[in-house]
Amino acid sequence: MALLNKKKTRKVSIPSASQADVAFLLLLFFICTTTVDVDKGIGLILPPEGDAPIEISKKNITSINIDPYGNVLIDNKEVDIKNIQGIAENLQLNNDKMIFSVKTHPRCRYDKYVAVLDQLKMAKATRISIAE
Amino acid sequence: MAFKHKKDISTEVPTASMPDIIFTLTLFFMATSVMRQYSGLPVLLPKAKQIEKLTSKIHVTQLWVSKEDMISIDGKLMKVENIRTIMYNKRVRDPQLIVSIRADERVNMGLMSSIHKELRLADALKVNYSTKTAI
Repeated sequence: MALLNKKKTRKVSIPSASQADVAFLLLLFFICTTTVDVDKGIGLILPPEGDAPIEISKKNITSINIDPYGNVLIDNKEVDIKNIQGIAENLQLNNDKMIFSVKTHPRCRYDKYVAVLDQLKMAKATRISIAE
Repeated sequence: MAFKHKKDISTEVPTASMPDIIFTLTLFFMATSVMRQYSGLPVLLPKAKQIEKLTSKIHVTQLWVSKEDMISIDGKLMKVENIRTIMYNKRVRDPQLIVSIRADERVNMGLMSSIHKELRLADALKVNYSTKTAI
């Protein structure tokens, strides 16, 4: 009987000193892996369908054409895509009502079109029109 | 006048509740983190520098265009002619609708022009050409 009484005094406990560390590691893992998925891109507002065409003086329009090979022509002069920003900035300095009309060939690639839009946005052009 | 030193003041910060606080923080991060979900088509987005972020996801509808000229909205494949009806219904439900076009960089502009036309017919005029950030 004396032996049985001894067992009652034994302490049984799970060590909880490292619990905080484990929780910290879990927390760090979630902080590191959480990514806020934000959609980003070039915003544009399309012209409404069926609007009566507005007559604009030709001096206020700069036509930008992209051919099937991705070459860019501004007012029928070939330019490098990287130089569009500078040209657009100059055109806007001379005429603040300048409208950029982007016309693409049906076989032109989409990335060239985005690159041209990007350059125009970098030049802070707000009047961009898409010609069909 | 002898000052008695208070020797028995404990200077320990109680740390017994620390695991609970951290577990609560962990639970918060676990509950709020969303794994990236792709419900569209495999696309290689073009790169651009002057990009704007779409802050709200509530008014955004994604339109996927793959290099094989496949079009998908809300995980469903469709023809160009059907964009009009779907976008018009979405536009009626949400007048602030923004269409995020996630098109492959190799897509021809002929198809993009027809998509533009359909969006204009549906009166969904706010578009965003989804791009990656150029370095």
